[in-house]
Amino acid sequence: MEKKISLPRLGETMETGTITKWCIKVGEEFSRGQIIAEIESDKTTVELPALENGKLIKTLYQEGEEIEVGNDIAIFETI
Amino acid sequence: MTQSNTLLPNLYTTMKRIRTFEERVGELFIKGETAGTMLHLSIGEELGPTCLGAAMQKQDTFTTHHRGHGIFIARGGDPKKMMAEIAGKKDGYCKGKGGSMHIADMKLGHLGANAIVGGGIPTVVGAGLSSKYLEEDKVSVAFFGDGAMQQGILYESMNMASLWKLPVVFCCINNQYGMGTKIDNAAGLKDFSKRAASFGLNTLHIDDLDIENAYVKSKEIIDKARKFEPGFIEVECYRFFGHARMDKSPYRSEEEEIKMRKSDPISYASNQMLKNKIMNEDEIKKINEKISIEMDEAMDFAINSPLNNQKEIFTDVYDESEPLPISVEERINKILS
Repeated sequence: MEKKISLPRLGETMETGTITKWCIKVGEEFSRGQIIAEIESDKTTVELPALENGKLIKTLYQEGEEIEVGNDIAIFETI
Repeated sequence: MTQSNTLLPNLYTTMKRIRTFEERVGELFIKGETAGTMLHLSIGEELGPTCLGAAMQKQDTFTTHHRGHGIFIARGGDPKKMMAEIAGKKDGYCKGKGGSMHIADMKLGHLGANAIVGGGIPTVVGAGLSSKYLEEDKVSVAFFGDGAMQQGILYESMNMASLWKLPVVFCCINNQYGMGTKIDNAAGLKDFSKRAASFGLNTLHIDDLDIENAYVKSKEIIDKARKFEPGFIEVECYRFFGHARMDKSPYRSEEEEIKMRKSDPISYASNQMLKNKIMNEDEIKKINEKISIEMDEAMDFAINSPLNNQKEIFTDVYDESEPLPISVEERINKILS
């Protein structure tokens, strides 16, 4: 089943964020807890862990692009 | 299994429960379900709370620092009520009004978590004095980090505990970092036991991953404290991740993190069980699965727990069993009459 990952709010004042690094490449499998990406907000950089096991199908933003909180950033397939 | 064969599985289970709980707190945060973003996880630091928690007796009391989830789990905290507290929900230990850093439950001897560095330390001196005076046979343990080793209140507390011969143990969980400052840049003397010994306390320094040994040694210190010889225990460990959930620890190198995360008390205990044929891989996997389900349920419980009515902010502020103070008007009328 295909599912989406959205940009989480990492602080009360965060409205947008940037993906500084995709830690999983398209086509790669990941397990629950594994770091998928590093996200930078106005205040800090946070690692985004996977909430379930999956395989990354598509990333919807490049590293460095500004993204609104809640927007989908990637599509994965549950495994 | 014989009694000696159940000790390590029990300690392993507690450590694994702490770690899995903390991982789920991380997920709760990513899901936007936590009240606030200051979540201090104790991943990598499970050994100290687990062995002291097991060595303490049912009636004993304790205080924790800001990174205290693991300590409360080791002392019997209910993951569901803890997770609900972290989510700021009605079913939390403090009805969601305390949050991650202010969980308390007098019934389980948890005298309160305290976000101020060293803040929970003097409380155990009072608890120790009370226990001794009332002959309650309760040892009170203060858990704090290496940052608190540089706080004056610790030394006032150690002195009073020693002077009045109180049933108190001071436990420093030295994870090497006070927020972003490495201990080398904060402490003049890193041999903390020497400082405690100078106050006349029994001391113990745990710096390896052998939790069975750590348990036996900590129990000796706690048992002596019960006989009014206060003690100090330092547990050296490594904070696997940043200070809080929002900190990616840019002040230390990735090489250091990769190297230090190999000092993992949970994999060490698991390997010991396999090596000594106490449990096989399947049995360990089963335990891990059960713990995973337990903590998933705790997370779901927190998400589904209702938010408080806004009026709740006015409750639990004053102890209603106490008589109300006399009003100023009443005082003046008394004087004038």
